[in-house]
Formats: sequence, structure tokens, C-alpha cells
Amino acid sequence: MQLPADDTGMDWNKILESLDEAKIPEDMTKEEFFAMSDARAAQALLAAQDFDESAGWQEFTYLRGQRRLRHQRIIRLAVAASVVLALGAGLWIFPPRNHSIQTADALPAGKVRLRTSDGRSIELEKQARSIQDNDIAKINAGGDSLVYTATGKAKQHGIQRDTLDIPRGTPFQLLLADGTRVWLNAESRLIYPAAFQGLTREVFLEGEGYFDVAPDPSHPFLVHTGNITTKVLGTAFNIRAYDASVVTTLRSGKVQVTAGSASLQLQPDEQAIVHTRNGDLQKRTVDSRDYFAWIQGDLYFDGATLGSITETLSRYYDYRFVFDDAAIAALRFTLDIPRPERLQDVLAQLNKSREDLRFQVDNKTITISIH
Amino acid sequence: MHQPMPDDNASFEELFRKHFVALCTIAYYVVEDKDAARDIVQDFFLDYWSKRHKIRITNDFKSYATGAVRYLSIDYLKRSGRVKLEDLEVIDGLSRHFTAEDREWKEACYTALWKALEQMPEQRRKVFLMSNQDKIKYKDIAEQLGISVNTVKTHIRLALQFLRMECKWVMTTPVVFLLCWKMPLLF
Repeated sequence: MQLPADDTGMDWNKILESLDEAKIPEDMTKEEFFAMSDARAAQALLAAQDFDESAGWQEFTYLRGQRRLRHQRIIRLAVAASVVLALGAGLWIFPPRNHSIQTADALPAGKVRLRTSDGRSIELEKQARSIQDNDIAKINAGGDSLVYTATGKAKQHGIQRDTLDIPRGTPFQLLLADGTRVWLNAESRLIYPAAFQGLTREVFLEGEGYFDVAPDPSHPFLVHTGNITTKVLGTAFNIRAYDASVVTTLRSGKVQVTAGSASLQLQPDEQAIVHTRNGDLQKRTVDSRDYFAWIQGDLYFDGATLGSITETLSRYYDYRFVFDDAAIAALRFTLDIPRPERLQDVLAQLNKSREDLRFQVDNKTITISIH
Repeated sequence: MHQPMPDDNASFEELFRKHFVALCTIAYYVVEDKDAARDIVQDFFLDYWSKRHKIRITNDFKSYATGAVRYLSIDYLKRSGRVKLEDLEVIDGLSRHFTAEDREWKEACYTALWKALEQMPEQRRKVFLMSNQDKIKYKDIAEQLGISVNTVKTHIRLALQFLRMECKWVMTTPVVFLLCWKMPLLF
């Protein structure tokens, strides 16, 4: 049986067969040529995760050493001499600068860390790679995300949980094996099974996470935050648990928040606040952009105090803020911008609304004063 | 743009790390063999290192390296004798559409690819990855998943059509196509 031709009139059958046989099809039309080119590009990109620059560099230095031994012994002394000369010249031309004005351009250095249930601890680099491929789940990492695909043979393993730690810096995306999508904000942790089983889908959150839960009424999704539990049947919501309270904000669907014996249901744009100290549970209606802007990569503050703004900024940029005067922390700002890569650009924005603000940068500490 | 030759080990290492994976990917696109791709890129860098006092790159390193690795890869295929000469010409033409740039570029592509893959129905993604990542034959995929070979093919066709729609790296213009199609091989 043949596949039907699509609207470009190309013969997909020809292409699919040559891909399976690793052959080049004969007499390709222009459209077929492009389709073939794209198919090979996809394969090459998928292969890319098996190339490792560190392993490559190690091999290179070994191979280079082998070659060099043969014919470069004599040059070594001359090279050493010229290096000394060059260093001396460098010092003379570029004398070490003493104190100058610093700007806040340092990028956070922390790495996202994944601890798998089999006890491995893996620092995730930006580069794409395959982390696990066994009978529980397949795990692929790439850019700022991690993708789980259940392989579906894990029944006898019992519940195995992986732990993902996001340091100060960039938020991270995770696709769980059941299709639930999780955005984890900076300085957060999620503990979850590589593949879900049993009657409920349960995960544990510290920090802030946005959940877009794959609907599955027969397997409720439970998010545990301390002793507070949010129960979901298929919906999107944000949980912020950075400080003395756990704030659950609902975007769509329906969730039930339970703290000890108290419990309440949320409608979209409603928010439940639990004070962790006394377990007090409250409900209110909110401007939900405040809680969802971060997953779109935006910085959003609506008349927020500089104190709370700098708290958020320290999580994204890994800088510490000190106020010259406590009154400055109470100043209010409104800001809605795509989150810049460098803190300096945010400080410049704040300066636009208050020109008398001074940010003095000393390594990773920023002192804020008014002139 | 004149690019100064990286003479010291530290900046050479930086250059190597920045481009290694992307260059391996280009070599893989041509030779479809991971070990061979790694060897080709190592050969390129060894050669580059040994000539570092002689080569002056008038263009940027990226396009120089891409061109060199593509040439070495085609040459490897030619010497291996497992590809017909007229097919070599087609592969060379195809590979000109795949210009992996550097680490950042590759990450962007990879992220786009996975974003698109994530949006696919689970079964389609699984079939596509079995074929394109694990290199399992259609017949064996069908057997493992208990579906027909035809269903496997349909999944892969739909996956490819979807990827072409979703991913920016597939944007190729007919003008470029005509140019490279008529371009004779360099050797």
C-alpha cells in the first residue's frame, strides 16, 4: 500500500524508503530534495547529543601530544622564552587597572542539577544530551529543558523519584512522563517519579513552579509543598513557596488546596494563601499576570516595593542587595519587560523612573542609595 | 572580517569547544556515522593547529571550518566506496543546506526540534525517535509496537511534515537550491 501524495505533489514513499535504507533516492524533485534535506537535518540534530565537546577536547590534546612528541622537542625552549617576553610586554602595555566603576554584568554561575533515582547526580549543561534510556523512562536534556518519556515497563520497580534543583539564574522547563509540563523558577526544587504509577501522580515542590497538568481524571495530580497539598484533575496553576507562605494561583480548571484539616477550592484568577507558621488558609482574587509573567520570560512588577523586587532579582541574577536606608526598600516601582540577560539592564530601567537612585556594585553585592 | 589565529592553548581550546559539536553534526549529516564524524572533526582541528602559524583566515572561522569539515566528510565517503559517485554529488548538495554554526546555533535548533517533538502525539514521537534516533528499521518498529509498517510510515511522514512547519532550521530558499544544485564538486 502506498501513502497518498500531499499537496506539494511529492512522493513521500520514495523519501521514507530511502531514509529507512540509508540510501539517496533517484531523480528527486525540488520539493523532495528539500524534504530529504530536512529529514537528514533532523537526524543530525538528534545525533548531536552524542557529541561531547569535553571528551572531544580530551581526545584532541592526546592526539596532539602524540604528534608533537615526534618533531617539536627543540622548539619548546624557544617558545618558553617568547612566552616570558610576551608576558613582560603585556604588563608594560596593559598595566593592571586599579579601582574602577563596576557594572552588574556577571551571569549566575550555578548549574541545574538532576539527581536520578539510581543515585547519579548530573550537572546539566546547555548542550543537548541523553541522560537516561532504560525500562523506566527516557530522559533528554537540551537548552533549558528536560523531557521524560515513559518506556512503560517500570511496573516492578516501585516508586523511583528523581530530584531536579534549579539554582539562582534562569527558570527551567520540564516535561514529565505523563505529559504534564512544569516550569521551575530560579532557586527551586522538584521531586517526582521518572514514570508515574499507582492511583495518584504526586510531586514535591520547593520554591516556585507553574504546572500545566495533563488531564487524567482517574489519576489525580498532587503537588506537595511542605504540609500543604494541591490536588488537580487537569489544569494550569502556579505555586510560589519561597518564603513564609505558600501561594497557589489558578489560571484555568479547578484545584483543591489542603492545609492540615482546612481545605478550599479555587476558580480561575483566584489565589489561596497558606501561612506556613500557623497554617492559616485564605482566598482572594488577584491580577494573575503577577504570577504567570515569569513563565513567559518576563519581569513583571505592579507597584511592588523595591524590597520585594530586589528579592526576585537576586534569584534570577545571583546578586545580593543592601539598602543604604530602609526607606529606599519601601519605594514602589512598576515594570513589565522581557527579562534581560544581565542585571545591569534592569537597574538601568529602574533608573529611568528614579534618576536619583544609585547602584554601587562591589563584586556580587549591590548597595542602593539615593543621591 | 579578519580573525586572528588563536596561538595560545586557552583560546584555541575555547574555539574548539565552541565549534566541536556543531562540526561533528555537519560531518554526521554527510557520513551518517558518529565515530567517523568525530574522527573527521579531530583531523580538521589537528591540521588547523599544526598550520596555525601559516593560515590566515580572511573570512570568519565558522564558515572556514564548516567548508573544511564538509569537504573532509565528502572525501571520507568517497574513499569509503560505499556511496555511488552521483549520490555523493546529491549529498554534497543536501549538506549545503545544513550549516550548523556554533554552540548557540545548535542549541537553538535543538530546542526548537524538541519543542516541536513535545507537541506531537506520544506514539508519533516514539515512532519518529525509534527510526531517526535509534535507527530501528520500520519493519522492526512495527513489530515492537504491534502496529503496521504503513502506520509507522504515516507517523514518520506526519512527523516530518510537522517538523518542517514548526522548525526554523528547515527554511531553505529555491535560489540557494538552484545555486548549490548546479555547483560542481570542489574535487
